[in-house]
Amino acid sequence: MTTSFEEFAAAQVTPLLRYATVLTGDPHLAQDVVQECLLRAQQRWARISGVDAPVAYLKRMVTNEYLSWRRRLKTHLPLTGVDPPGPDLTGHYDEREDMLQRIDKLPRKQKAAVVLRFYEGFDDAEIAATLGCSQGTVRSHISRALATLRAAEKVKEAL
Amino acid sequence: MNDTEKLVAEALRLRAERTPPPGPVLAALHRPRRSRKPLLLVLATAGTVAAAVVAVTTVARPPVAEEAPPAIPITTTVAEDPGPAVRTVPLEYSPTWLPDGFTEWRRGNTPHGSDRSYQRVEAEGSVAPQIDFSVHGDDIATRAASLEASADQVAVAGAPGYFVGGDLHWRVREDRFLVVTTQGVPDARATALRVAESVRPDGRAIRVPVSFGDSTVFSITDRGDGGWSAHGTATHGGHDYLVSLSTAPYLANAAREVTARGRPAQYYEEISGGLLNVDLGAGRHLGVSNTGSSSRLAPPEALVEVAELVVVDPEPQVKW
Repeated sequence: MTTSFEEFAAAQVTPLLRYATVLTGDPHLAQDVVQECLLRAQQRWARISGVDAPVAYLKRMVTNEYLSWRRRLKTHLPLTGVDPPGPDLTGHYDEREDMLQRIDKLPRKQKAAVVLRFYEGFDDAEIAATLGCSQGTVRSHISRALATLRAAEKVKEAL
Repeated sequence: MNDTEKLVAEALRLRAERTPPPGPVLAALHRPRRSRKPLLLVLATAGTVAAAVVAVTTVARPPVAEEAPPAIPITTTVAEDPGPAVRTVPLEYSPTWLPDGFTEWRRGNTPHGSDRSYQRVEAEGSVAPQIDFSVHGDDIATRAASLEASADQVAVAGAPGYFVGGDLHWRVREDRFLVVTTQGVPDARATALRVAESVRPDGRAIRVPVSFGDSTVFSITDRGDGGWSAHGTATHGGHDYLVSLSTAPYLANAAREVTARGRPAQYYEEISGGLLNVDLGAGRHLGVSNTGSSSRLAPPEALVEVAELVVVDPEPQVKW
């Protein structure tokens, strides 16, 4: 049975927003990106609904939007500025915030690969399909990103 | 998973907790077909402010005319009377040439200047190529220092320009940078340069479709089917909100019927926040939602209060 676009959108909008928020670090931009992708999908639903995995297709669209919306990324408020963090009850909060700042400084494709691996739990093949690159490139992106993040950790520890 | 990888995963999960509510996005999608009608008909029935079509044409050849292909006029629409209370922001600059088939489908104002997007409709299933043009009046010194280190420099109508990847930045005057970006456009570099060479000062002001207090940050999207949606931001009582104005109502089972702006409204409790939808009549809907905090569900009273203070343009500009 073919799912209607309305059913698809209602079921997938929150997961897509969550993914876009993690990817962009900006709820406003996440809404913009997801809205744009869903609007495009709505116009082409007859075709998209026929592909094997419409959800993966939409995730690719969101990723591509993120990778290409360079300028807008600079003009939106950072997530931490939109919604100030609450009190840290775990003693772990600053560490995670620091890590998010370091992740945000990664080259965009490296960042997307990191989000897909460590948030979405994708394997190399799934990330390669989403980013439109080879599995070797995916491994390279993640390896370089982790090396950068580890190096930043070491610098922080040394201070 | 080692310690760094665990920390990365925990950090990303923390960020995911701040996912914004889906209401405004769904509202932009859920427009009943029966109410779809041409935009001009909606405007004609909605109010009396007339829109004038202004053809923007090239007014002068660029200083490097030998290198720049002739400009092709772009037709755009500007409303002449902003009316009381509705705020306006300057465009400052506009491109006067775009590749064939590109039309403006999204326009906005950021804290740093105007921001516009153009697309060409492609065949079904393919991603539409896009060109963006934006004005930046912020961090000029930092931006200049960063760009001047770039080896990829180019003159844009005599002004210093810099390619950063496929993005073309150029300093059009002491306190302004302009940026052209392309995506999915063949011969991107030459196209970006040609668009940049066609940019001229533009003294027109654009109306802010939805604003709150001093904020004039907004974006408005032409959905291509006669529908449109606009978004802005609001800060009130120490909290941040998203404000939307759209031809699309938010369709769901209302959690509570309320009144806002003297009109019937519905309050929804979404997974990641509260959302208020106010039917403004004439096929327009005002939405207010609190932005992404899983720990706070804005009560209807707070959203109604924001809705009362939002300035809504009775005749939003959607065709340019």
